[in-house]
Amino acid sequence: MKNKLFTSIVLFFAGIILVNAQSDYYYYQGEKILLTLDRSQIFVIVNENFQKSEIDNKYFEDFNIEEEKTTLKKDKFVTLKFKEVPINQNFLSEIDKLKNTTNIKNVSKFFKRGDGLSISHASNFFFVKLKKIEDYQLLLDTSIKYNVKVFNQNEFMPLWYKILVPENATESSLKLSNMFFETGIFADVDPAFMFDFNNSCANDLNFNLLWGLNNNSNPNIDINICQAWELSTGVGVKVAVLDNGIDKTHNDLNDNISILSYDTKTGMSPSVFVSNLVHGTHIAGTIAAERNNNLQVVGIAPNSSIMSISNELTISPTISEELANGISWAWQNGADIINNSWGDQGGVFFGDLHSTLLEDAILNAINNGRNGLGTIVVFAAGNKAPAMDYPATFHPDILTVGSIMSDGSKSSFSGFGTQLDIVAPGSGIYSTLPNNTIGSLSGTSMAAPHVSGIAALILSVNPNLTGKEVRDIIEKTSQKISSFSYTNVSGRPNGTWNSQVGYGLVDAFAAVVEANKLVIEGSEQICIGTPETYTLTGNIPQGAVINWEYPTNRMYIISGQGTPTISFGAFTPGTNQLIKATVTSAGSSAVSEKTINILSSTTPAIPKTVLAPDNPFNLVCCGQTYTFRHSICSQNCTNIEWGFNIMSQDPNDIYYFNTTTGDITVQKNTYSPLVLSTRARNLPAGCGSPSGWSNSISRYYGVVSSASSTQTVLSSNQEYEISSDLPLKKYFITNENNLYIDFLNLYDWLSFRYGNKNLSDNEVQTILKMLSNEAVFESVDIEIYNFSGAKVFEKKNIKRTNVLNLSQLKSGIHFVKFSSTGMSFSKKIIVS
Amino acid sequence: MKNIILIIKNMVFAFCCLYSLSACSGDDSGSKACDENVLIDAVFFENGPSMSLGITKMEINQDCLKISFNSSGCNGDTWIVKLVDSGEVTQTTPPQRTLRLSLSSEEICEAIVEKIISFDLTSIQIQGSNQVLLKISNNDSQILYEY
Repeated sequence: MKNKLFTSIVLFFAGIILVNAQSDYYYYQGEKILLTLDRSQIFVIVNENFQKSEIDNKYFEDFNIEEEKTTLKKDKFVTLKFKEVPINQNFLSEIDKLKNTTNIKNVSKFFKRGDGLSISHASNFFFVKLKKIEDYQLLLDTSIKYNVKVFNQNEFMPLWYKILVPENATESSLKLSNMFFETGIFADVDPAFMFDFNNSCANDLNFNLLWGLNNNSNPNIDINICQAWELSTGVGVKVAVLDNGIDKTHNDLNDNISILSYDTKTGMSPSVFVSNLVHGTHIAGTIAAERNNNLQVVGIAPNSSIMSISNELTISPTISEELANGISWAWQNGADIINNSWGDQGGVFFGDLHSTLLEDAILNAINNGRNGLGTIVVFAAGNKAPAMDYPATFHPDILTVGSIMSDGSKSSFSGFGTQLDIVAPGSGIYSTLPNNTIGSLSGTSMAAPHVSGIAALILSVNPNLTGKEVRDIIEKTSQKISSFSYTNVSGRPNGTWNSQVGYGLVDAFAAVVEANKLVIEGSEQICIGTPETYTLTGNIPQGAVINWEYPTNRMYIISGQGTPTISFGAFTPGTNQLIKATVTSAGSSAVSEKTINILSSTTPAIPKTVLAPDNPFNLVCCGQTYTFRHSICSQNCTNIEWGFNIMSQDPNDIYYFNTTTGDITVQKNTYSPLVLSTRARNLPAGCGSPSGWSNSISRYYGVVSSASSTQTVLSSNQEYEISSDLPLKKYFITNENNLYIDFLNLYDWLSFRYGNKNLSDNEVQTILKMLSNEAVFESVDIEIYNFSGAKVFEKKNIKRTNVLNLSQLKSGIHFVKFSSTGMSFSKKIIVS
Repeated sequence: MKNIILIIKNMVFAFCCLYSLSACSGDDSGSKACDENVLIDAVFFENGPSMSLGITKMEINQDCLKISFNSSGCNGDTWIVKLVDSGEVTQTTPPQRTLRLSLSSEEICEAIVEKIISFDLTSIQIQGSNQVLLKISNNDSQILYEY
């Protein structure tokens, strides 16, 4: 594969190209440099679905679809070489055709520099140099104007900034870099040309052997290190390697060895190295071998620092204590990450290693390391597949790493199962070996330091992340190797998972991007008149200055400028409004933006409700659970919220109300009736207040013992009418002047009297009163008045079913008054 | 005179040494070409160390069985590897012997270490036969030893 290298260009043209009518140029140290169009070839970026057949082979030579691994996004590309160099018109015509091809994302011309080297400009970034550090705001303003993003500040040259060009940009990054320079605001620009070099993102001589970093045979099976190095190289991060010693003099490693080291056997510094023990030196090289030094290999975090914690890693009576001490020393002396490429060998040494002391040391590192943020503890999963090794398995907060081969298959030896977190390259891994040599080793030992290195890249861009956040980022951003199937698994919250490869193959680039991300969290809309709070999360260094920007013609700050949490108010509606937080620390800035809508407040109309057509007469006892609808909306039904009010309920019954649908789910366990009232209102679709409530619909629900909701049928032999005010079922007077009275069961009478009708408030109150005085209905007061209105008979607290002898009364018309709980009912009787 | 005696003594010593070396190399040429001898021990066969290992290649060169294998460890320097014969001979044609590659390790590194080791097979030749089938129990493989 032909690799491409982005470089910060320093062009010294051997000869200035001829100036002609062309419009392509760039600026170098303030001088406008014209470019010669190279019509012999075209550079095309394609998407995953692109097929070679989409290109008309009449004009172009055969070509390969290659993978771009040095840009910030991983794309595939094609270099199309014309069979014959076309005239300008045909050349432009072919470009237009390519641009209209479905699976082609970008078409870019080649140019020739003065030295004849072809360059393309398909990059998505360029560099800008400020005239003075205070001009940062001008850079931000200009970036907004041209719809590009300020990505970061150069670590070593604070006047230089990298500018990202979004995919949907209407102008090329070359043209945008020119436009920036031509504003006159900036000292210089660098268009970040893409050169057709055969080299890659590192000049280390054996970089092509490091398939785990950059896989030429299977481009999708590596950790995307070239892109990651655009963002992070592990500066400032300390990685402890608890292993059998490191050759600190190795010429590809020595500049990245920390002076902090420890030997667990002696309990003293420095660490110990025995030249025939290669393991530790190999691990250290994978993490932090130096980059671009024209020497052998390169590590994943080539600017991180290795703390050597030495142990022979052979079984001894004191090994658990030694390893525990090594881990404790590491985190207590500032290790951000601890790499552990050792384990109990499929359980063979479980008895030797298993130790509460060791476990406690690991958990202390995880919980208390990095001043409480948590040290990242990485362990190899083990080489005795399917077994996974202790102590990697003993706690879920350990990052447990399995191994894959360069074709994406699981290494046969790699342990797997429920405790496997992720996989990394582990078969045929080249790295440093003692005495300035390199060599290949395999094992989950080799996979673990890939992950430790990525953790270092993450912490380098965002040292404020907790250990858990780092683990989550590594897991969430891992690549799903297509030959495995992944599912959602309980206890695995960071995406889909597979028992053979965990969350998948680690992705250095995606992880660093995720770690570096500032995010404004909060609602995507603000309601006028209602304060809204936003919180900036992500990489916010201590002491950083935070500046919030917002559309001042629509919004205002209530509180929180300069802090991560801000409260906004709004006064003018508008869609797609931008709020922005800029974090500035030590001359470096990062920006996060959020698009919101500002909405006016509205109040919807009050809905109208009616009783549901299938509303039941009775509820059914006992034990069954069923659902019914009490009332429905009949008018102004836009965004209904239902309100329920149970006015009488037995506590042994269970009701659930759905405020969205109006459904009532009931489990009726008693024969007690239900008195229920419902009402509805409309909620605002966006901003505003809810409507007022509709009128209540109240009902009395009796209870039957079977799944019947029909009306209770009263006895048909009633001699007199049923009272509508008291639960009087029947009364009659005999020839012997005996007054028979019979009161109905209260529930039955209420059902008869009030069931299946909408209740007025007064009726509801009457029902509630009767239900709350149920026992009183066991007795009734009787008063009888003659036709003149004089009381001629009185009996209090007589039983509801009774016979009263009225023979002492004079014959004639009388009026009998039944009273109970303050309610009364009068009827005419004739005494003979 | 003393000097003459001393010279003669030295010459005799040198002759003896040369003779001795010549005799040694002539008698034990087979075992000297191999790294280890085969251990014939039924108890060790059953109960000796048995860390898991993967045999990747076996070949016999004269009386040496060369075995390539790997297992997990740091670099294998602490490994004790024995080829153990169960002591039993199955009287088939050719006769069979069962052997096991025994690995003892104290290393807890998670690297795959490759080793090649050869064993002198002369001690497991069977009288009356010029070949024996060696069944290796680690991976249920077999190899014919002809002598």
